[in-house]
Amino acid sequence: MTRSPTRLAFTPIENRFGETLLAATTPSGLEVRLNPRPGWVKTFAAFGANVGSVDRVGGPGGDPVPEGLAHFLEHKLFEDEEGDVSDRFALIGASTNAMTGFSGTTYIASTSDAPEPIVELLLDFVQRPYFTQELVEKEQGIIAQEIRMYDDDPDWRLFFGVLGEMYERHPVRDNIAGSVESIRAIDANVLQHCYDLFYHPRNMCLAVSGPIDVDAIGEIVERDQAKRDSGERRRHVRPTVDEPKARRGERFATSLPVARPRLLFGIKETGLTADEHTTARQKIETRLLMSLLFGRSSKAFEELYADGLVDESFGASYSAEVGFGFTTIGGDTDDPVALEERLRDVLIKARHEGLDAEAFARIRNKVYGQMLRAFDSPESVAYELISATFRDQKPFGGLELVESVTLDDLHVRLGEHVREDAIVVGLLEPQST
Amino acid sequence: MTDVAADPFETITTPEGVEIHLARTAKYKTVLFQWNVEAPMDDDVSARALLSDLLSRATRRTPGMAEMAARCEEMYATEIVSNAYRLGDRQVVSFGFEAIADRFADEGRRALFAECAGLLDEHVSDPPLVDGAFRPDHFEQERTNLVRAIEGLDDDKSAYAFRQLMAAHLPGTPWARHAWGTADEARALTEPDVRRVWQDLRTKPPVRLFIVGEVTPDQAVEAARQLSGEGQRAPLCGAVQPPPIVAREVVVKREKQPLSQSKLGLAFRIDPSVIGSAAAPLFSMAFGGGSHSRLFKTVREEHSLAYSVHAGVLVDASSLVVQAGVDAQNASKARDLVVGELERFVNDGIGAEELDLSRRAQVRRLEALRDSPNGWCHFRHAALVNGRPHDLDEAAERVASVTIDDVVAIAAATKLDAEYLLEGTTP
Repeated sequence: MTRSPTRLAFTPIENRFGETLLAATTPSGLEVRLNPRPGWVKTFAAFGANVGSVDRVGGPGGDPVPEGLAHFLEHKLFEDEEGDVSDRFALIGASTNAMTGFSGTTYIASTSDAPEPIVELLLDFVQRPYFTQELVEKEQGIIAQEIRMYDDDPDWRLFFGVLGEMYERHPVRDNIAGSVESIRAIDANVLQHCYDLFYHPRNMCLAVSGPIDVDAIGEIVERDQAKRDSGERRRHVRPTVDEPKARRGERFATSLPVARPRLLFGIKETGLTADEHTTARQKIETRLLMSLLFGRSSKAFEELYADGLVDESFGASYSAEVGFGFTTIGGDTDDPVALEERLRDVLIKARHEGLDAEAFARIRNKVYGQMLRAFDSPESVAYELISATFRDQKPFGGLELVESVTLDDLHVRLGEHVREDAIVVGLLEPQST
Repeated sequence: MTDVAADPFETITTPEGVEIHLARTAKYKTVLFQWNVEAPMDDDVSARALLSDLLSRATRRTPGMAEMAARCEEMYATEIVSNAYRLGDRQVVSFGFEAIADRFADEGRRALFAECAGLLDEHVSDPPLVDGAFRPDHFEQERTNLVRAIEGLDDDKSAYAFRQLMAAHLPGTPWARHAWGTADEARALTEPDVRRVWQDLRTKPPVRLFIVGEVTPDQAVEAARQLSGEGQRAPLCGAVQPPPIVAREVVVKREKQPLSQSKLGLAFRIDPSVIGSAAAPLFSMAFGGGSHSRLFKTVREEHSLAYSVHAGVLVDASSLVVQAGVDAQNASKARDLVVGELERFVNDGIGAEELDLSRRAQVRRLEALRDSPNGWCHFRHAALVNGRPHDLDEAAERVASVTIDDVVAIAAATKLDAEYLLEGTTP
């Protein structure tokens, strides 16, 4: 079969890792990102929608969106009038799945057969919803089981418990899948309405990584998008939530049948901005800061470990999007009271004595190595391409950002981020079985 | 299917008896190195598990944890990996590293592989000792952490339910035992016990070394020689033999915990005389191995009883395990549906298209391993230990040759042996 070259104009995305990354935008507004990998076997395709659990209003009129809606949509798109979409992927030698996060939903498919059919099917099923009340009711039972499964997960419970005390009104405090009660309020009409709000080409991004023919994929995308229209809709911009700067509460406590207590020390981001670039920089700076303070090469981790207050489960991380952000630090411990006190001491001492300049000097090598390793995973590449697109960032641009950060920047970030009235302490205690 | 070269692993046996499996390739930006020591699931499993923690934390040259982590950060976030796990009837104690390939390192550091191999050798052979013994503070910390880690295994309720099911299913066999041993075994460890096991581990038990990346055979042999010391390694053990089938009534075990969701587990024995073919994994895939499977369609989609329902074959044990997360009041219904689906499989067989879906899924999994150094090495190691084809092409050919009759024969040779329910009591 003779194929005409794609009319989609792919342009290379510069990167310092020698990887071919290509970008194009269809006339319908769909962002397309490709990572051809000659010599690889598996093709991984991810189709992302810029809608997640924090999206509780949508459209120009600010229509209300029920809790757990994005996740419910994710489940329901896998079924249409012909049945389960997964079966069709299986028939073409592919597997499929999906996941919903705070600010995105991603549908994935992978194959070691020809890539084109899976891209075609992935584009088709996500953009061709089929909601009936009967199917919705059936799904409620399945999602309720998923929610119950997470209810028994100690880390999940503690994490959302802390977010619940951190945030007063922002929906980041709610479980991604919603609650058994909230999903009962979702029906076929609600799903269709919300689908129309968020699922259109301008609010979506396709990323494909693997042994692909760029022209062939481009042609499939073009053919598919010729049938789609975003109309007047634009990429979803999350409205500002009237969220107080200060935490909602200071403490969260719960119990589950676990072997040891867990402590999760949370810090609410109070320096939020509406600008994606500033948020990206803030994210890098805070992650570097937490790595210097609590990473495996930090004095604090070594001392806490030597004193038996932490083990390998201990970690510190930072997440941020426009509208919300938080640090979490913690892990299993026999003495949560002592650990909490010591974590506070580390933060106070860092403010008075400054950060470790020697450790800061190692950061470039560390980040370079971590990013390079990510390229050995087509999945990581595809996710980064989608994430960067929705945030208007350069994919894998973290290294340049890291190189531009100074130790002084981190001292400023430390003072800005670590505030007493932003700290929430979560404790999960063993419950007798 | 993408055209790929035949088995890219080169097998080299060193004079010390180390079996090296080297896939020399510039496809990846990283190098994976796994020094896998094989040992029996005997009374020393906890000591070996402790060694994997004790040795990975520091070396004589770099005795501090923070200092060691800093050294790895300088080496482009090289990750020193150590673990103890069960593979079939034996324990594997694995020491290794994942590092960026030499060509990506800065000009003055282009011998990164040799540097990493040297660092791993320091870990395995040259820990910080005091008067020839492990440092008391290190020993105490790591023993305490191992006890806690073993106790913490029960926090994951699906994994807990699986272990309880296996304890009912194959009692007294390696399959009913965790590779870290029990908390009591770990608690009872003494420094001389662990030092004795370390000295033995350094030179005696059989080792398979897996390397994927831009590494020459000479570099691989040199790294193996360095790690092996001067001893002669014992020969590798033969293929795993599944435990014999014991004729008995179905064992039923039940317990309660304050959980929202109940965990149902069913264990079946598959006649060991039929498990050797490639039909068993295909049967388990068609039965409950994915969204196209019988159990997914029935238990989840048709009856909305579970979010997660899955069947997996344990080829080395000649068993099939089904697990599902359900509401307590639906556990019995879910159990009956699983058993009923097996009967239907035996009585009505499987359609050509249904088998083809499973076949394609299985081949896809095998093919995808070529892009995953870790997954590929694990597949190869497990296949070698189980005496099954370790070359992906050969494994895929065997899958292609399976017939409907082969799969139905496996189903017919599958008998329920044990049931376990962890009943959640939280409303």
